[in-house]
Amino acid sequence: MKILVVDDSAIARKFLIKSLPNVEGVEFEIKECINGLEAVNIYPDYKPDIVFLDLTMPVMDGVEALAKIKELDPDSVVYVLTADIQKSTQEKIMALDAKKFLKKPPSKGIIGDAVLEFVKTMNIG
Amino acid sequence: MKGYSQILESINIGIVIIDKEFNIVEWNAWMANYSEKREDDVLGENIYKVFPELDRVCFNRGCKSVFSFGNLVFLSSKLHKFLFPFKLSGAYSASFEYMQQSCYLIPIKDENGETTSLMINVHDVTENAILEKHLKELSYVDGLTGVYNRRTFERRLVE
Amino acid sequence: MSDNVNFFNDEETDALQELMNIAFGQAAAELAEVIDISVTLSFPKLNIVKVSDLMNHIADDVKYINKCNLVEQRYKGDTGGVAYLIFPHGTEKEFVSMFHMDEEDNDHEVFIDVEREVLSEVGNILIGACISKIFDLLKTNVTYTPPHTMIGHKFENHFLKGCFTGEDYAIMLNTGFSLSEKTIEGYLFLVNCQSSIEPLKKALADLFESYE
Repeated sequence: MKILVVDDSAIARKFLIKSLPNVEGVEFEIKECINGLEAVNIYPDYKPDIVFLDLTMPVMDGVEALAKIKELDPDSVVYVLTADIQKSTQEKIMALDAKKFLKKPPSKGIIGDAVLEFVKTMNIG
Repeated sequence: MKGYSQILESINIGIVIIDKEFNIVEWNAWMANYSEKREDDVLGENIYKVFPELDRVCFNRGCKSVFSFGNLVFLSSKLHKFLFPFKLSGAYSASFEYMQQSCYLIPIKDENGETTSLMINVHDVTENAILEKHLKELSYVDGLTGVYNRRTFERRLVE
Repeated sequence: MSDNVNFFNDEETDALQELMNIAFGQAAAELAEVIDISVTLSFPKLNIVKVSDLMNHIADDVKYINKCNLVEQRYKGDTGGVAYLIFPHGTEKEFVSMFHMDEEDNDHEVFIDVEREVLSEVGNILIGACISKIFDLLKTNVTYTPPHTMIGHKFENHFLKGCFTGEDYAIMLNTGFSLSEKTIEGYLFLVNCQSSIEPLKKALADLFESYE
């Protein structure tokens, strides 16, 4: 299973990756990007199953990146993981059809549940 | 513990503790004395039910802040006059109808640092308020004629 | 990092910055709930500066430092410091109309300095929100002294004396804030003394540990 982690902070990417669950029979392949533009550029070739996307980033922020990724692939699964947890931000993100809006800091519980939920839908589908 | 309860009952400030649901869990003798509501009658009751007057912006906002951020909130008598309406009698009642109060809202935390209840400290500052009012009046009002003086006029002009 | 002082390695710096980011995000969201007004906090900046240069660093951001409104509050825990909330002189009237909404209080005569009292009360909440969220994440407790408030005053060097000694370094965090869609904009500075570096490093180490 391919995961794309997009965050300008190296430590934030590390914390997220450490929070990924162990799922029997599932191997994670992980790629990291440091801004939205990198993510949009890499998306068509890499074709990740899940994107974890930060919002506040230089060059291209997460909101713009989310819109572009959805343009490239309307079925993409994007989990937004952010410190900007204001209601208005959340509404904007959900309107852009993100799969989920997750609050930083990442924890095994939050990230685990999100990934497991996705794995389940994959198995059913 | 016995010593603490003696302190609580004899201290010359009002002490009320409420839980997260705003139910009263502590009501010291000072509060009972001025409110004329006995501890037994208010324990377990919702504080807004006992004193509907508390349902105002400063108190609601202060409590939210204490429970969310665990900080200490000070409600000045200069701004809010009082939280609990305790009618004054005797000499002070000529200056104010109600006891003037400065109040603190203080978080009470458990061993994990989680704010589990909130203590309200009520200080009677009526005497200070009377003195201050008197001083301000002296500086704004002409002593002989009782009309506003020039300083007040100039200040009003600026506003 | 300015001044090339390496109290923290790259990973620790990155983690501190990320923590501040999360803390201020939570603070903004909960503040909006508590004071019922939209709050925006900009991306926080982290600097380690010599105490003797602190003034210059603050003046770099705050252009109206010669006449400003100021709420100052000290806090103490494993790490101690001072918080300064600074915004332009003249905004105190807007503060009052925005936050002072109890009708029964509006009959203040000429006698009372309402602006100062409102600034103190609201400043205390703004500062408390930001500090508490940082220390929650670092898992250490903190207590506060009551706020001091000044209106239309110059921010002066001697404010910093007594809390810090000249040759020490201070950890300075700052963020811009805006209330109610930019009706009021200002800055929050949190200045931690040098002795808080060790407890911070310890808290960061625990944080890294929790992800292993």
